[in-house]
Amino acid sequence: MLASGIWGVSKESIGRVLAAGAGGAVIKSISREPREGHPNPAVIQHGDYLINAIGYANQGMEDARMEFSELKKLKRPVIASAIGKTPEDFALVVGHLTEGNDFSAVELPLSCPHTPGYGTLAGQTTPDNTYRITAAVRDVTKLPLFIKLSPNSEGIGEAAKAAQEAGADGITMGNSLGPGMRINIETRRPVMGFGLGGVSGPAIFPVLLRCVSDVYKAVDIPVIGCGGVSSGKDAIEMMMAGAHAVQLGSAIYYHGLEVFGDALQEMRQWMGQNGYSSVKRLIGAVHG
Amino acid sequence: MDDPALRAPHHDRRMSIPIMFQIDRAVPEAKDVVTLHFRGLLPYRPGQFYMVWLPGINQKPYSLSHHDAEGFGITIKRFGAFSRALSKAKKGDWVGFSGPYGNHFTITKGALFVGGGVGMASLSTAIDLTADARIIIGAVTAAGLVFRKRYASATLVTDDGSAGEKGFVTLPLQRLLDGTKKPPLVLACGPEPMLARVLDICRQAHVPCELSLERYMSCGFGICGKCVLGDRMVCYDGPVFRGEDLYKNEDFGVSKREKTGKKVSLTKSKH
Repeated sequence: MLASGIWGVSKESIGRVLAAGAGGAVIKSISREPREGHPNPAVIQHGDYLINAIGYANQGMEDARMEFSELKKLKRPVIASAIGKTPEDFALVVGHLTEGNDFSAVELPLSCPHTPGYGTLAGQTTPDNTYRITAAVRDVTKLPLFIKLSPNSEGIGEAAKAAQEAGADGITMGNSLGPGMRINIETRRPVMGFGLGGVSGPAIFPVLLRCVSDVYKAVDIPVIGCGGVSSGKDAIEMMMAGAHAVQLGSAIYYHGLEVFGDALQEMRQWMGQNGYSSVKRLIGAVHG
Repeated sequence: MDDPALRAPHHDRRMSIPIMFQIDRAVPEAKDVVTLHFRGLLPYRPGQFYMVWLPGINQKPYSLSHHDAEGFGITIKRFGAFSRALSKAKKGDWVGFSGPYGNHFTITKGALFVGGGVGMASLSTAIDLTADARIIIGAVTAAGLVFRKRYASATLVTDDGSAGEKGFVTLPLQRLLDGTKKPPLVLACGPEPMLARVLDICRQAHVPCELSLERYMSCGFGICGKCVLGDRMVCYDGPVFRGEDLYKNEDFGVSKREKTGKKVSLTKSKH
């Protein structure tokens, strides 16, 4: 499925990603008020990684609620993504976005590495805060609730357990790595408009793969693997580490929207050749 | 729209971290319009764009208005804070280029070019490669005409009649399409209401057109999603669109998105 933050600004964009073969999609994260985000350059790419510091630019929950109406027409699951500065904020946005709309699930990114007041910069991924935020949102929605964690922290398993205890239905593992930075040597300035940003792309795949493996061992709820997946074989590897589902984002830079259809095709082919009739046998296969 | 000939390859020769060049010279072109020239080589096909970075300020998309063996240039109209800062940059200042992004115009002998205001900047490199090009340059006043000396044979149109014909570019366009020497293709860039009229006229005359569009962008390479235009993305599918593909687009000529992603009417735009 499509990871949050890429393409998911409008219902039409989501529809197109689904038509390209994605089994589902997560919308761009929505806050209470509209946000313009950080100045450009907000996304750069070099070699096998991207760095982004979009800064949660979004239209705010009032407009987003209209934008994502009548999602049933898209015929595949669309997942809401909500951010907040406090547990109450998260609950307010989730309640507002999902009321009267056809979202299939809710994802809470507690793990953005480049936006002051949110994510890792506000300590939202500590086990305590993960519990508080998850519990607050659990109170306002019956939809499946996924908590998106950061690959940065040492105790990922603890944060995942806290989310599970607070009633989460799954863990999305995870957000971009870092933050990282690049310096323009001619002008001695940071390249990113915000100075730094989250690192994504194929270069972070090994780190996120290990994180998925850690979370799989720590909790009983399903894990959604995300981070540097660019092919069907990457997705299979992510599933063997413990992912029930896999998200793609930066791969679109390297391969275009076709990456969704191509990855599915590659998975089917590999599974057929290697005697797998269902993905169920792939999930957590490395753990025996 | 999914014609491979019009699609930008995802992996072209693009560089998505700025490559730095120092301004070689700045040349005033028209009222509030200046060209910055740089020495050096950048890969480019007419119609594509670069994300242009002014260190410490911001980064925005620009097509190259000059591109030859010695160097390249961008032509800037002062609209907002960024273009103002960029247009004030001096010889020796560093400017970063990421790209090239997007697809390109189809170079066609005898094509007709219609440029409104600084829209001429994205057409000019295509004009330079086109044999027997015909050109219409429009602006609000004579002072706003871009590249009138560079293309001395162009038909000039101004809203107030201070140079060339009084009215809009659509007048000479209509005459040329009604005439006996119909162009095989119309290429246009300028304010979107103008492009919407150009599309109408070309459709009525059964002449294909390619229109270069502009939307707010964060990345320029199909990740951030901000330049969404109906079910298309300007950086990913464009910026050059075939008229037949825009005709049914719900946003074309109607609405655009602000930095937040909020959809607003095009007429509220200061462009």
